[in-house]
Order: sequence, then structure tokens, then C-alpha cells
Amino acid sequence: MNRKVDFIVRAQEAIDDTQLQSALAKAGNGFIDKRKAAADAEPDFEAMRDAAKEVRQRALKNLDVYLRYFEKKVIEAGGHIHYARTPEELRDIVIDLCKSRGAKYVTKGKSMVGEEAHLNEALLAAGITPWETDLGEYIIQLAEEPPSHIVVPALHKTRAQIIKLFKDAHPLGERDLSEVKAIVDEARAVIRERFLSADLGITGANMLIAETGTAVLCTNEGNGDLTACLPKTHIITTSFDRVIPTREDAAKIIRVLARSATGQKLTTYTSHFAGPKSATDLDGPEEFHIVMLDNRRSDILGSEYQEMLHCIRCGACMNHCPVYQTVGGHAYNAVYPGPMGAVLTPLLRGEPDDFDLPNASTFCGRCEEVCPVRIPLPKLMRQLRNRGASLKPPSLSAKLAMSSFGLLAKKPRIYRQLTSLATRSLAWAAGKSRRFKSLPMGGAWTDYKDLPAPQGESFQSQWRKKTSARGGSK
Amino acid sequence: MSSAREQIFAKVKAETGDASLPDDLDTAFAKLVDQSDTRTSHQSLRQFENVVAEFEERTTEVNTELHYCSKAELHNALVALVGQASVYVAPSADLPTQGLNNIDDGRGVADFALAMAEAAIAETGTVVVNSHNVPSDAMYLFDHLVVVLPVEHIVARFEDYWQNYRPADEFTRAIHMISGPSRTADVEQIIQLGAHGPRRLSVIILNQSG
Repeated sequence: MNRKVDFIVRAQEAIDDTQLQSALAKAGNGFIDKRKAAADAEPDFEAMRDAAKEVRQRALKNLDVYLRYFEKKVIEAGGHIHYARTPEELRDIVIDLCKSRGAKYVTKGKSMVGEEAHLNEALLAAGITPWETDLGEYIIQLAEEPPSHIVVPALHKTRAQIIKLFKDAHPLGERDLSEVKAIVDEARAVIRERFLSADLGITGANMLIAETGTAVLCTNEGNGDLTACLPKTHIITTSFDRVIPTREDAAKIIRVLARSATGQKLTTYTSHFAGPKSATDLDGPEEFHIVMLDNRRSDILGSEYQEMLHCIRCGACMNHCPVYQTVGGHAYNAVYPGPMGAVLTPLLRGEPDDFDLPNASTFCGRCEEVCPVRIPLPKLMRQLRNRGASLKPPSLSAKLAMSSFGLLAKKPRIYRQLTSLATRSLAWAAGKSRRFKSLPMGGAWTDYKDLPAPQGESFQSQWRKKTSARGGSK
Repeated sequence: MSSAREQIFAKVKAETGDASLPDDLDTAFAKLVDQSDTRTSHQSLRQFENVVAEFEERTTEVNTELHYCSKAELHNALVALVGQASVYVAPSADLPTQGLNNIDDGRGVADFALAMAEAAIAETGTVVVNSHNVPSDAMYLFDHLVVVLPVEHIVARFEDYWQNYRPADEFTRAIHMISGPSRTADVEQIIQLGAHGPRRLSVIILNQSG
């Protein structure tokens, strides 16, 4: 059967991909343990989360004022600010800036908005070469793949795969790259040349501060700063909903960002950039440009999905998601994977298949538990399931199963009789072993674990017996 | 046909515009900030028993190498640390660098970079420099970064740094908050120090005596 490639097909491919599973196993529960350790080390952690959520709420509540004030301050500082309604407009703006400044080689710090707008492909098509500088982004650039995680883009790559990519891409002769240090040292040497020779640097921004027209950039590698400060022109690709009022507000978000993402108290380099080099600065770029993307965020604003705009892009939700942990990020076929991507992708891109993503969840709720700004992700996914049902209706078999259940659920006596019959049959069929190693149509379960057979009586009937013995229910 | 800016602004105004606010943008912004408690709410976080001790613990966690000396001893401490290796000294560092192998080079040829911190933040073990005092590339292009930090400039929290050191109306192009040497975990989540920024960070805490 020629099945269309959708999430279910990609998820199955991901489960069967031994290299991917090996990479995911290496990640394991590492992020979960680190985040927990960071949260436990901080007696005020819950208060910090509340403070970060309050900042995001307050920022959106009067975004009209903060956005205009931010623009004013950027311009006062000598910077330029551009607006893009769509990814295409963003690409055009960035390419125009590069061309008019004669930029042929540009260094890039990681920008999820840049990924969202498919910026690199557009730059290449326009004859401009982007050099990714974040090690994870560099690895996937060599592999010609999209990122699979918003913080650790090459999470899906094993060490062996990375070594092969480096050996193929860097003509440096015989050398031993089996140690992580050797790999990182090689990347450092190769990319250092690029930092020094780039015509222009493009980064993202973690936060935008209205009070001072500042963009905040958080990295561990230092690549963001080298991209922002060395070339003559610095372009920031970001979105208008990142604006927050003050530097104190930024501090509230900074407090929970790294702790939630990697368990660090702070990213090694947390930098605040405002405008180009002025008379009082010792160095800096001659030009500073911020490109603000909309791409339907202005539709999300004021809607029942507005809380999704609170997201600070820490990645904690996907780190804790059992679905993400099993299939990785590429199965989502989206720039933003995992729980936050399951909400954002249908909202920003809105293709019918995107509505598979909020369905790829058991609503275990771990994502909401760990979200530093307490976004109610399962609630938003549930809302999207309703919206998606009209765009991508469920299959006939799914509809039949749900309506049969609906019928039975309204007839409790028949429901109980049928389930009682089913449990007694299963118990009889399992026999002495009391478990099923295989079950017709139950392969999705029994391929991986045994199914214990129902034992004895149902809770309901035991309860009835107990309470009637005591002389009456309740 | 309205521009992208006009369209986006119109949509944002439709959803978040507040007619009760003053028309003047500066006044509206100031009013909103005053209404919030963002300037002071950090004070409800736990107080550090000893801000310097907190800084020492946090900065050691992130692999920063700590040294201590008095102002009088600083020259000896620098010589002990740097020896005859080449060093790039950030202009306006105003440090006793006589006898050191100074290279006036901004592009990473020297082994060491030497700079004066503006301040430090205890809660995360972070030193802070800004572009008025230190060229940005000095913080990133050298293998071993040495930062001299007067102990009286260590504050507890980010908000304390902003409020005591950087007035909002004073333009500063770049403020760098640095917590340890550079690192990456992009290869199998194994942390490796020495990514693109310095491989080592040494902080010399200058105590007030002498």
C-alpha cells in the first residue's frame, strides 16, 4: 500500500532507525536529570517560574506600547529595524541587506526564526554563503539536514556520524577524531577563520528589551558574540513577540532559561547588544539591523492560543516528552518539534498534516510540568485537535471505533456486561501463564512487552459486593 | 497598500492597544513600568549570607579559576599567571602590566587576554564587561582570558548590576556577562570546554586592603 508519509510513517521509521535510537539513548534522561538538579538546587525555583511567566504575560498585555518603544530605542541607538509579515519577506530583507553591503560570506549564530524562514537555502540561491558557527548547527549544515531540537540541533547525530561528516568536509589528512576534544578543536580551528573573514554576521535573539532597544543573546560556545561583534554588519532575525519591557524583566527570564534547557544556572555567554559602535565604544559593527518576523504571530495574539507566545524556547518540553524521546525531532517534520512544536506548527504553518502533531501525545502532562513559563501545552493541543478534526478528519476506522465507544458509554449496563465477558475470555485464553506474549491486532503492544491478562473481578463488582455486604452503598 | 510595519503595528494595536494610557509613548511606557514591581520583585528571592562566598561557589562550578590578591600584589599575581606568554591587554584596563609580553593585537594571536571587569554577579558566578571599557573581541578570541575583579564590585543579582552600574539611559553597545570558559555539549551531550571562546577563564579577585 502506498501510504502517504505522515507523522505515523515517520515515527515508525524513526523507531526502526538504529543510529537515531542510539543517539537518543545517549541523550537519555540527561536533560531531565540536569533540569531537576537545577530546580532542586534553587529553593526559589517555583517563584522564579512564576516571575518569568508574569513577565511574558505583562509583555504581551501591552505589546503595542513596548514594541513601539523598542523600535524607538533601536533607532536612537543608531540601529535599523525591519518588519516581515511572512518568511518570504524576511528572506528578501536579509538578502537585500547582504547584497547591498556586498556580503558574500556570512557567519551565522543559531536562529530558530532563521530556520523557520528557511533563510540559509535562500541565501545560497542568492549567491551568498552562510557559515553556521554553532557546533550543532554546523554539523547539520554539513549533513544538509534540518535541526531536530531547538537547543541541541544535532541531537540525532552519533559521534561516529559526526566524525565522518568532519572527515569528508575538512581536507586535513589522517587524524584521530575519536575523542570529543579532537572534534571540538577541529571545529574551533575551521570556524575561527570564518569568524575573522566574514563580511556580515546574522544571529537570532533570545529576548528583546524595550527600555534600551537591546537584543539578548545566550550561547555557551561564544559563537554568537563572535558573529555579532566581528563583522561590519550585524543582522538579527527574530520575531516581534519577543519584546519585554525592562532589563529587570530580562533577568527574570534569564533565571529560568538555562536551568530549564540544560540545567546550567546561566549560559556561559549572556550578552546584551544595542545598536552599532558609537563614539564611546571601543569596537563593534558599523551597522546593526533587527528583522522582526510576524508569520501569523499577530493572529495568535488575542486568540485562545496566546499563551503559546510565552514560550522562551528552552526545549524543556521536548526533553521530557516520551514521544519526542522515542522518535526524535525529524519525525515532526517541522522546525519546532516536541510539545511546543505540536502547538506552534499548526498555528504558524497550518498544513493539514501539521494537525497530526497535537494528536501525537498521550497528554501525560510532563511538558506543562516543566515549562518554565507554565504554558498549558496539553490544553492547547486539545484545542488544536478540535480545529484539526475539520481540516484532517479522522480515518473511517477511527470514527467507527469512537462512535461505537460513544454508544456503549451511554449504556452502562450493556458496557459492563460486554467488558465483563471480554475480561473473562481474556483470562481464560491466557491460561496459567496469565499473560499474552502476542495478541491478534495487539502487535503494537506485544512486540515490546507482554500484556498481563485481567485477573479476578472488576473493581466495580468487587466494590458492589463489599458495599452490599456492609448493608448499602456509599 | 500599507507597509509590513503598518500592518503588524495595526494588528498588535487592535489586540493590545490600551486607550487608558497616555498618548505620548515615553509617558505610557514609564507608567506601565511604574505600575509593575519588576524593579524590586527580585528582593523576595533568598538573600545570600555572603555575596562574595556565593560568587566564589558559583564561579567555581563553571570551571572558572579563581585567584586572590591585594592591589599591591596584583603585578606579581599577573606575572605568576601569565609569565612570558604573549598577552593582549584591553585598552583602559589600567593594570600593572610592566614586564609582561604585551602584544597590541586584537585578533587572537596572543595566548592571553587581560581585562578589568566592570562588576560581577554572584547568583550565577558571572563577570561583566562592557564595550566602553573592553573591546568585545578581546573577550572571545584568546585562549586564556584573565579578568581582574575588585571585590567591592561583586553584587548579588542581575537587577543589582543594572541598577547600580548601567543606568538605562546611558547607551552601551555591548554588555558581556561571562560565566566560565566556553563550552559545548553538541557531541553526544558530552561537555567539552574550549568551544569558540576562551579555553580557560581566570578571575583575580582584588581585595580592598592594600
